Amino acid sequence: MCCWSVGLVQREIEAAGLSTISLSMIPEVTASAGAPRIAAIEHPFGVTLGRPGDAAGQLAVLRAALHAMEGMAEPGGVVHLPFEWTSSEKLALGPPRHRRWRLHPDDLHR
Amino acid sequence: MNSMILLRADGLNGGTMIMVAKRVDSHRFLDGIAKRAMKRWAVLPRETAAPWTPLARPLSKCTVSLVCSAAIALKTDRPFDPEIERRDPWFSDPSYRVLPRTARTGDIHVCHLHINPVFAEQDLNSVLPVERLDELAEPGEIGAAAPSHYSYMGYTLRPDRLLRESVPAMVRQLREEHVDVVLLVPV
Repeated sequence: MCCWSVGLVQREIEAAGLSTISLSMIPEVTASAGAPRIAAIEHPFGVTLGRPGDAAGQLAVLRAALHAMEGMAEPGGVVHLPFEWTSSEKLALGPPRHRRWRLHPDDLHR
Repeated sequence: MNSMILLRADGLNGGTMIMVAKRVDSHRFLDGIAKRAMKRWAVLPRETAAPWTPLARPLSKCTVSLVCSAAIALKTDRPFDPEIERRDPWFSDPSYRVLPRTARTGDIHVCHLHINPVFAEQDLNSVLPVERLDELAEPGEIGAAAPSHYSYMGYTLRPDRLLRESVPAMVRQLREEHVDVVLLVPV
């Protein structure tokens, strides 16, 4: 849903006169919302820019997404970013499957 | 298939040159139900054409702001309300929060019910790269990082209030801060 709502928010901001680009793990869904520019990325949900602590990786993704704008000349452009995510890490970064995410956020910090 | 492989037989020495261009697998990190839902979602008829604002100036002159859908709030600010979504799974808290450029990992919490918030709470830059943006601004690769970034709760099937109330308010502040470029980050 985030990949969809980001496209909706993006198109409003773009229509207001700012240039925008979305990162997206599901570019087809972001495009379906009418997003003008998309930088597709194959990263797990919740770590869109990269692993916690991986400053170099995060910087590379940010830089690639922003520079992708420079090559797009018309609405609906999608650039597939080249970053890879190794399979061994896939499960370790999956969504929460325990009761923790049922708690109120204030409880999470106790 | 993750990669699109193009085979060409016109390499400089008459051999085969292989070029590999990444094509993102949109379904790699989805489970079975979500995968089927997203495949159907993606082929629904599109409602409107995408708007277009060309880059007004080179990136090295642009002020850049970030918008993230992870429902990030400063610990000193009002938290996002997950009870709205628990009462009505089709809806979620439609508000947004401003995160100053100086916000750091220890200043925030994440209230998104559909991702593991641990990673963003270990390092805000995993979803809202505030420090990385400053690192691009310092040598002049971008013109400047905007004074403010933004977050909202992205998991919603009824975004009407988000788009009607929160986004126009965000746009007003983006304009006041003379932002040229916005990077949006889903989670």
